[in-house]
Amino acid sequence: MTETLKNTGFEEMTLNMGPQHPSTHGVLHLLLKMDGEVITEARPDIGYLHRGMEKLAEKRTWGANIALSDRWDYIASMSNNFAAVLGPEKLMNIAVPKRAEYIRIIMAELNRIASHLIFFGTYGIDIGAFTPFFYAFREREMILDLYESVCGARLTYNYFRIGGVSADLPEEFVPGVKAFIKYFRPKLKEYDTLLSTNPIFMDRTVGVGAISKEEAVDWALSGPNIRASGISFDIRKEDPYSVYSEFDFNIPTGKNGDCWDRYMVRMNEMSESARIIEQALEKLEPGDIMAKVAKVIRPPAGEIYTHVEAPKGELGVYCISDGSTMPYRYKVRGPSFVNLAILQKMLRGLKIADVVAVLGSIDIVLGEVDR
Amino acid sequence: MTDQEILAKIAEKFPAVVESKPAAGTLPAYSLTVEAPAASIAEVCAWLKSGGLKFDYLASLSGVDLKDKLQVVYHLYSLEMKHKLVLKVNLDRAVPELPSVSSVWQAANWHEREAYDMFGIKFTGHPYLERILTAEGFEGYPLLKDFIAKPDQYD
Amino acid sequence: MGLVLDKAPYILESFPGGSYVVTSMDWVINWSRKSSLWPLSFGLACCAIEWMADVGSRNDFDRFGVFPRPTPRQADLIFISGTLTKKMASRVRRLYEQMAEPRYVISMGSCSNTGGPFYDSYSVVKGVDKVLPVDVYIAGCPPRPEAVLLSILKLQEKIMTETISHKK
Ligand code: SF4
Repeated sequence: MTETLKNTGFEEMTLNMGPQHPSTHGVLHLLLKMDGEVITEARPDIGYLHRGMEKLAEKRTWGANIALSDRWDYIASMSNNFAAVLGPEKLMNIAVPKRAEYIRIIMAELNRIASHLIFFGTYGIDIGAFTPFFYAFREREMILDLYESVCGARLTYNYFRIGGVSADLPEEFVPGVKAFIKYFRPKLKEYDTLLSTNPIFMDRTVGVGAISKEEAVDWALSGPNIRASGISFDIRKEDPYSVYSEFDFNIPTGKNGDCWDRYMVRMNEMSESARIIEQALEKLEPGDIMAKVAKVIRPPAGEIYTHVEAPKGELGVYCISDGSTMPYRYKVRGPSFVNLAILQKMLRGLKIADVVAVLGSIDIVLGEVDR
Repeated sequence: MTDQEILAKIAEKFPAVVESKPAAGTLPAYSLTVEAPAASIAEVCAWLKSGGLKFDYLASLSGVDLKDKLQVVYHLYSLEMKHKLVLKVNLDRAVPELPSVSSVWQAANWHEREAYDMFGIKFTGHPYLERILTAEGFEGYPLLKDFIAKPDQYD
Repeated sequence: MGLVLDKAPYILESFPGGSYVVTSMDWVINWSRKSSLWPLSFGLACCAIEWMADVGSRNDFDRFGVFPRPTPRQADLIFISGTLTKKMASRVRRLYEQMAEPRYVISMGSCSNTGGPFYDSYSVVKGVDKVLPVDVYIAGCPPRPEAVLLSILKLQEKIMTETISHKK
């Protein structure tokens, strides 16, 4: 309790935010202790979407786990698929055909754009601008259409397979992606004029919720959150998986680590993703999309930690195999879970109105926080 | 730094920390894996972070139920020197207890709460060791291999 | 309004031909209810993203008079869009109780219908109908936005069959 509170005889107030709140991005519950408008203590209460995925994973075959992985971070299911197949592939020593690798990367990067678009739209709503949402969803639907033409689903793709991908690209896919990128590039500028440099938006985000470099590392942030603090940490460069080392792309970073920087890093990442997709389309050549893999997948006993750069950050899967058809242990290191933890530190001392700005800028998905 | 150099440095400081060899018939480890005694884990981690090896990034902390014992696995990374280390701690199933490393890496805070929630592993010295994911009044530790879910009115 | 609707049918129906008036009133009341369904803007899991797509530009369910409200007190429809966990169940029940009557529930997706892909999980409610009365179920994992639109039409059909009459 602060001095002023003690002297005046006023009491600290406890405020419950969530689990149903329009801007907690799902079912997050925040317990806030307030001194007037200032937050003195914040405690995120999670688990409202805890579905017991890690336990279920032990009851599902390795292949069926890819379907479960769709539901971790349901905004970027392709990246989850990616993380789910890398482990067993390495354990079984499978060489994935080149074409499949490029297809995977195109899918993952398109998904990064789709995920950041959702961030852009919902963050606008959090700050009080409704229009960006409609812009973002208009573009996102186009990506979903492309996905639908490949795997028939809009959200839960289940497209990757251990050893490749489930279906080859339909004829209209490559021209579709090219047309989309061509259409999308100018849109990014439009977003910038619409929101990024909007004075009201900047007032609410610049300098709010700054995370220093040391804090970012200490709390093991990843993805755009750590990059906004000025650390160029990206698994695609740090520990290149698949064929990412063949591509030429930059890693956008921020300087101050405040909400606006985190927002800008994501906006810039979208155009980098578009660059990667273009390069991958160039390299795409006809060929196999599946390696020769046994029908029943039984990775030899052993363990491995694989990670991918998901739109939210480092998505790691620590899997232990005992040589049977199901994983022995399947731990998912969700980036949202780790990134959310810092909220308790960040909110202290801020005003109540900043909560949504800070929370939105971390960009969490509850499916991945609670698993 | 190569794995051998890292290993030598650790062994010099903490002779009790040894390289962990995978059991017979399992694949060799993909990255350097060491085993540390439970009691000294906090000192080992503090040194790993601030000593010459600079493991400043705790990527992940997982509990594992190996049926005869419980295990806590730390995946460490050094952003500065770009090397990785997997640190394992074996725990007695009857009294799964070890010192918390949340004062070393803040990131361990929630990871440890999760491991406590899922496996019942007690991290002594943790600032707020409460269940994190399961519902209020939940009984048992779901990720233990011998956990049996009790059906309630929602099943 | 509530009291009038409660008492009026009794009085009217006691006169010869009064039921004609009641059924005409039915039509007006039902029509106005079905044309302004305000759902609670509330999402649980993956299905909520498809629900958001319905709010978004392409599908735009505003044209059916469906307009999300952020508070249960202004809402008369709730979409259970996603996995309902045991921890969340009592909270959803509370939300439902806070809504003004008449209120409707649409269960969206396999998870809230039956538990879906998590049917054998220790922490998932096996169907939202264990907690709330459901009016319309939508199948799918996740249901397409078009299916959500269809569910709204189905609910509107259902609302049109309601009556204030006491002679059921
Ligand atoms: S039905 Fe499928 S898409 Fe919907 S919440 Fe459940 S798992 Fe997610």
